[in-house]
Amino acid sequence: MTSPSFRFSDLSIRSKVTLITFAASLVALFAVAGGLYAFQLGQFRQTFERELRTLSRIMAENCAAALAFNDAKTANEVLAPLGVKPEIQHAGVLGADGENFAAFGGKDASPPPRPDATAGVVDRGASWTVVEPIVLDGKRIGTFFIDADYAGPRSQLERVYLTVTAAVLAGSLLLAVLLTIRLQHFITRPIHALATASEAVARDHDYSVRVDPHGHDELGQLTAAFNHMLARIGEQDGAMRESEERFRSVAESASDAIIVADGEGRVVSWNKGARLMFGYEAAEMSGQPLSLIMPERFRAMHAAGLKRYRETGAAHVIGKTVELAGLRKNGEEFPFEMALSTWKTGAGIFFGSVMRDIGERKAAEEALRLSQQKLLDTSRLAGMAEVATGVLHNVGNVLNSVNISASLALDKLRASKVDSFSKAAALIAQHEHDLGDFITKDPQGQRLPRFLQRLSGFLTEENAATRTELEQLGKNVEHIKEIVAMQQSYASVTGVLEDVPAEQLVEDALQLNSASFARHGIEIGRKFQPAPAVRVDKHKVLQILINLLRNAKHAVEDAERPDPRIGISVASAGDQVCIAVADNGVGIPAKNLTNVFRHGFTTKKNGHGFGLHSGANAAKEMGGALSVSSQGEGMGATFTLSLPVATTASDLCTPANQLITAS
Amino acid sequence: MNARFVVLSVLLVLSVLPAARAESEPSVKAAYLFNFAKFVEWPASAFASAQAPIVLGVVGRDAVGDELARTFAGTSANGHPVEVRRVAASDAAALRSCHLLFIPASERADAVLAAVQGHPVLVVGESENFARRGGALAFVKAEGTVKFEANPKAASRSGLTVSSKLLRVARGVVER
Repeated sequence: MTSPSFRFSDLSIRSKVTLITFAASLVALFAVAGGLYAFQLGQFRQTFERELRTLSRIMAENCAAALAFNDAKTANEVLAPLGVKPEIQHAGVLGADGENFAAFGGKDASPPPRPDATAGVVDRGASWTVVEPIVLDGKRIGTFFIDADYAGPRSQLERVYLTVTAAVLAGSLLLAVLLTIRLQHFITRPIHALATASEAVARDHDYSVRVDPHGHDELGQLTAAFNHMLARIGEQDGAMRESEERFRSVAESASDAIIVADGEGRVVSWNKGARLMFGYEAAEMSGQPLSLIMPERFRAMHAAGLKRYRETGAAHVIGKTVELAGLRKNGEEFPFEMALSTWKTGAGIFFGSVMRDIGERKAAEEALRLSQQKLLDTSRLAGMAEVATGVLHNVGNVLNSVNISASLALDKLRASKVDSFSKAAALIAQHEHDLGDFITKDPQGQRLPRFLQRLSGFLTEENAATRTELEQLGKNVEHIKEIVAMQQSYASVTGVLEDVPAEQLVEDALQLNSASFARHGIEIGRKFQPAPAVRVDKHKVLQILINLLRNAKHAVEDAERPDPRIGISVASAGDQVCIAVADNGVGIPAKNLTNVFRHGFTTKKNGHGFGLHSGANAAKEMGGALSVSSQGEGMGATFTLSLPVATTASDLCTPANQLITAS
Repeated sequence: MNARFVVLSVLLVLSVLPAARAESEPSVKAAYLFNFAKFVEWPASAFASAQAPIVLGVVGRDAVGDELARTFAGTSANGHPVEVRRVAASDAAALRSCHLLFIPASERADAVLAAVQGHPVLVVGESENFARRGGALAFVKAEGTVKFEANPKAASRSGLTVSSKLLRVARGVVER
């Protein structure tokens, strides 16, 4: 069993338990047996001594009379019963002078005690001598002594003890074996089950293994804890797999290149995005240095950066998004954007980089910029078209008036009494020489003065009417001039912010639409509160206002109200000036309120859904806003344009001025 | 004043105190008489007090009496100082005042026995058949040495108790 390489710690638990139980039993047994033997030996010795002394005392007492009366025979008779005690080898009675008076047993090997020896035991190891003085009435008349064999009875006791101990030892060992076999069920077997299960777990990574708990003792708790641990590990393993699977799935489905590299800069993980971006397969790149996908000129820098990070932990690019150039397998160089992260595990440092090919993005950005520019241009053109339409519309309207005035003047001229006047003049010329007679005598001539008088009245009237029409005509022409001049004035200042009073902008917009409003019989209401100048691109504001007024006009037209009205107000609100355009037209359903500013949204037959959208954008651009409110369908609508107040240096200094005036 | 002297003195005293067996018959008998006192129990009424002397009487003039007086007078027995008296056989009161009375062979035993009958007096004689005749103890000669016979019933009739140890050493025990 014992080999040179025997070690207790290598034994199976079962053997350990058996050995420990044996050892414990042995130690306990020897301790008990030894202790008991020592105690018994002490007891035996005491008893032995006490018995001998008691015997000696009785003998001494019983011998006293014999000694007193010098009766050796009786003394010998008294001593004779000592024969029943085999350990007594010799006994004797000494007279007062130490002479032998009586004796028992064989020849006394040991010297007899002195006549003055005191009561007690002389221990000579193997044999003892017990001495008892013989006293009569307080006087010593002799000495009694016993020579006893101590070694014999003691060895007999030892033999008894050895026999009993051996028997108990054998019994105990047998019991220990039985106990061990029984204990095995409670201790060794659960531990063995645990060991087997953990071996299976370690070998197969199968966390579904469970061990049957046998009870609620420490082993039962250990088993329960082991099972619980397995369950937890199983859960965590599952969660980890799931998370890993999720990561892999995300990484695989990402169009970005996701690359994980170790502390040496060697590729550990290479996703589909990386494959598509760089042209290398994952198997091709696994374990390869990252410098492979970098243009030659970056490689030294990359190596230095890696080395620096490994040694000092100082990172320049980690956590930032940087733009770099990459090298495809086909040698093509391309720009990419990279976010780098790092982490440490037991296996060392790892770098994770997410790379995006920004070649396409850059192109897309450019395309977007171009399309935005185009849109901007379009909107500007559309805005200008709007204004131009307004201008033309108004000019058309005014021209209509001009036309009417001209026709009226022509009609008047056509119906003029001037020819009558010519006839009268011809008549007068016929009668140049007899004008007097003709007037006084000729009946025709007699009517002439009255005719002339009436003609004069007609002509005066006609002249006045014609002049009025012509004045109107002139006014209309002047109006057209103004409209054109205004349009020019707005067109010429596009893109420049100017400080202008809001009322002027409102009045200009109204002016542009006035003819149209007049024609449709729309009543315009104004309410202008004093307001500071606004800093705006007045062309844009005009566009917005014209658009709002036209929308309002359409709204009231569509509503076919008998009293179409449009109200416009200007009010100051903090650092903004609000221009509100309200109408009592068709209104806006609540569901459309949020849509009206959306590009492409229109309720008009020929609308393109651009006016309010671009208006709102323009207002925002200038630091203002365009909003709408309506009580609902048929309840009219109010559009509010807020514009930033022009702030001048002197305005800013006002507080200082106030300080001066206050003091 | 040296150790040798002390040891010698002690040995001398020790050799004198117990019965000197190698000595003459009277001295042996005297020692026996003294020792008898130690194996016999008197009723408490026999002594006036705990310190009252125990009186060892010898009837008439005898060598045993001399020896007794010489050796044991002034010693003590059973806690009582020993007093040795010589008493006349005719003086009944004197006889009765003794605790132990030795009647030598020369004296008339029967008269003394009658005189002390019913009194707590241990009577020791040496005449023939003394124990049979009513004496509690009697010296006899056997194997050339002094022995004694005992009559415990006679002793108990006098109110005395004789130790069984003494009876065991006795040469013969008379039961009457």
